Amino acid sequence: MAATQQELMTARLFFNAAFPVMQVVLDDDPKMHKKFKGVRAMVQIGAKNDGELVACHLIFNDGKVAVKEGTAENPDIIMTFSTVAKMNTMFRGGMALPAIKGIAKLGLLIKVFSLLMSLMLMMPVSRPKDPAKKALKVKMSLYMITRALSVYNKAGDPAMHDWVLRQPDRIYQFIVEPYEETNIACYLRVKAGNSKSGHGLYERRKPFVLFDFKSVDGAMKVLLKDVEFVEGVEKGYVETIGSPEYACQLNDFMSILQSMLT
Amino acid sequence: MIDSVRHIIIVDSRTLHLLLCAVGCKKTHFRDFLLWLCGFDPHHNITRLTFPRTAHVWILLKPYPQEFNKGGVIMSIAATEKQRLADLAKELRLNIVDVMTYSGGAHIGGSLSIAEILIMLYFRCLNIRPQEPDWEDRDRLILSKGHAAAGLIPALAMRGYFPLEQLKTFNHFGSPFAMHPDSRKVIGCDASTGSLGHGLPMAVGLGLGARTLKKSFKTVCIMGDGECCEGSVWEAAMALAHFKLTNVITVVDRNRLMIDGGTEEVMALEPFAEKWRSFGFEVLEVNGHDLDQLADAFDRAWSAHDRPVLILANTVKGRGVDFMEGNVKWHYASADSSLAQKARESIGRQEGGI
Amino acid sequence: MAAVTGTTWTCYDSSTMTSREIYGRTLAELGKTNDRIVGLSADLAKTTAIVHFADAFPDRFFNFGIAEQNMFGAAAGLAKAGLIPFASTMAIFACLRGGEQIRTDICYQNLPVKIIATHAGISFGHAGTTHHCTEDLAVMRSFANMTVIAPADGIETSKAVRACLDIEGPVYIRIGRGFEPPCYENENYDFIPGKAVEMHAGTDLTIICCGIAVLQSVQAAKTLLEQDGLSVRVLNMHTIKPIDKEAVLKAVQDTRRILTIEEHNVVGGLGDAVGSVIAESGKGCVFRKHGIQDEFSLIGYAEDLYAHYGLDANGIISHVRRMMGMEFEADENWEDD
Repeated sequence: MAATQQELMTARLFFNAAFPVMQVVLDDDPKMHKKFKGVRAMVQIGAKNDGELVACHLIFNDGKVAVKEGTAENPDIIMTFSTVAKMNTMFRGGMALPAIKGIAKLGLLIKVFSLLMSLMLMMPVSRPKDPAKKALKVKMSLYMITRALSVYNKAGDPAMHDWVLRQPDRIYQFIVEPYEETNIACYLRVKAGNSKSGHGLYERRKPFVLFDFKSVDGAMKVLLKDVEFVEGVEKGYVETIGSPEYACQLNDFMSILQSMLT
Repeated sequence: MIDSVRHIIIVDSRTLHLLLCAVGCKKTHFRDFLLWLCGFDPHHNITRLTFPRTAHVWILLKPYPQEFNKGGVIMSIAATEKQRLADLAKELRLNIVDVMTYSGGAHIGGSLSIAEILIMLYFRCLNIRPQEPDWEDRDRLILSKGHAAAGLIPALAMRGYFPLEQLKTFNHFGSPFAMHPDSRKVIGCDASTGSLGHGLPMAVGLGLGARTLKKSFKTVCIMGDGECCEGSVWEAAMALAHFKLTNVITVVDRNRLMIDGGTEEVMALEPFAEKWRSFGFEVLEVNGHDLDQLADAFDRAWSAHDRPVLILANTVKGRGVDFMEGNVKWHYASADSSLAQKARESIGRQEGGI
Repeated sequence: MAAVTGTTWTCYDSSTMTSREIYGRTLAELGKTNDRIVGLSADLAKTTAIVHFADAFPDRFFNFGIAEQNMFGAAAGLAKAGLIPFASTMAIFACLRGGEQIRTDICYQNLPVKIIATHAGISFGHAGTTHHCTEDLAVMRSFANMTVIAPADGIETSKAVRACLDIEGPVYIRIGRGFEPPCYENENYDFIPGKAVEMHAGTDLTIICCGIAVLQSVQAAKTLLEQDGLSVRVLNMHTIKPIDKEAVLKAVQDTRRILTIEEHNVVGGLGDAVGSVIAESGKGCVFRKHGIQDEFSLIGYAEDLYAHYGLDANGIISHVRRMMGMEFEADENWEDD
């Protein structure tokens, strides 16, 4: 049966916001980095939807991964789910398996699966104890959410697009202190309908709203919703500098996206 | 029985007979039927009756056999009418919660506490024409506690001044709607308020103006109780009594809370009713959420003829939403979608009327 | 009952969220060492952050309810008794509701009352005109004996509050609603009432500004240097009265182009103060004032209004470019990382 608007939007968000975060894993996790060194391959992941295929393909190139929407020519592995809903379920960590073509390339298949599983680190149930894993989780989550916000706008969600349309050039910046150690920062830039998510600190102007997480642990607590956002501010885990109304509006969108993706 | 009758112009004897029976009748349903036979439409102001086969008749009735506040009989409003108003009050409360979500924050407590008062005025008492907002002879309403615009503006929309849809722009850049009502931008709003203590003096001016121009419109001024700390309120009160401005009806939303705490902790107002009486007012103390009491009080106020009337409405700040009621925190707040939903559910569970 | 969820906040939470509004905490600190300090409020203790002082010294804090005229009159009385009152309310109510008391009871008798006026300018955007104040600099400047200060951010406010105690007579300090981003890195600079602070060096044009415009002007100056090669001097004129005449005249001499920016009506505020200095000196220069152009503002969130009225970095950049007669280029890379 045909997928709903909501399911299609969720799929697009997974393709365009969650998958690109794999690059972070490849860069920061030494084991993953070794696994994919020298690997050159193309993997297509998709779902059947009323005769068409809703898909994206991952292009691996010696430790770098690119995500492109749409089907590929001659991919090494093709994963196809029977419905978009099942695909979304699997990405959320549920039980749903695709049909796999190219199962002969077992080595590659195992590596790709382990990379996909690593994205589970962003799930709310995942509570790593190791400080390096914690930092990785926070970094992945923040990168994903800023990407998701931008994709949500570009994909045309009416509420998000309307919000972006009404704003002049503004930067919503996230940072986890101490920045020299954590190296975790990302931003969302909006301007009259356009949006861009970026890594690091935006240099050209000061942020319109700055979400300043005081530590990796504090950031974890807020992202996992152990504390409500306003409580987090009171407890000193995070400080917002700038318009509280706009910070709240962005937070509301982030909650909506988090509930779609997790 | 009729207490006093004024302004009878022409009426045929059959209709008058029916009317007399209706007024004396304590059984509300039969009374409603008789009034209906006379051509009385419960959706219009009770002080104006139009007889179908005769010339227009204006009859002002004071059907109270005893002094209002001394445990007299309260003439309750027709059951169907009461249900209609109660439903409207509920609808207004839901709209207020919506405004809080559209605007990113609103003075929710003080808006919810006057829901019944606003409905009573806009849907029963005020002589207004939403299609003709600048009609010279309209009754005026000044929301001196301007921060309750989150209640006034949806009420105006519900009454037909502008579409309810427009509220979605609340607080947005260039919108006519914001935290305080702007009379130059909001259709149906009679005064730009927000700075407390300004409403009653303006009401004095309107009262004097009406008298000078020999017009019979009323001016209702709704104030907060904390607002009565402002000296200008008492300057206006003295003037109302001195000029015997019975065409001005003052209402105080006595919810007993202000920003920094309870009114009695911050700047004690008691003995409040006595203060107004000593300034020369007739004080009608009511439960601000009881539609019967409010209807009675407003009817009485409308027909005041020797002293200006103050309706001291005892209310609960945040009334309608269980976690907001009586809580000083909810003077001003924003809510995300999940909390707003909880608020709507609480309103849905409330009984109408009291 | 139902807990506050997610990003729901009430007016009570806002006082913990305002990270930059630190004058209340500064006052509480000062109160420890100086026992002549008393605090006054008009039912806005939490909104104006003086609640921190109130919590620390409950018997030296007085809440007058919604009665500004009484509050300022009482402030005068407390000063006469030998105390140093800090009276805090929103700018519009301080300046105009309690205006006559400030002028006759406080300024005329030259009493040491320190007025902290919050939510000045259009910083309370969505509250509408009844809660804006684009006239306070004009009004307060015209009262003899009054010192008028408009700090750029929380850090400067804290320094201004401390400096208050060294000024003999009445002082009027105007600030925003506490969500303004910080302009200074730390307190290690000299804050001298009556002396402007040079925030950015330059020779082509001088921006003289105060309040929120300072941070925006500094950002604008940096962008103009990078993109247009323009060297723009930014002077933080935090004290509008007495104004730093030397700094103004030096700027006229060195750069010959003056642009004033303020979150205030162009009539009667910083612009007119600077303009009088220039006119009286007889020196020629290109002079433009920018602020709210003698009108009552639209409704909207403060940040949107700043963008609309050209009080943000973008607006300031276009004013400067217009003064220099140049074109506009933008950053047009919209690819996601």
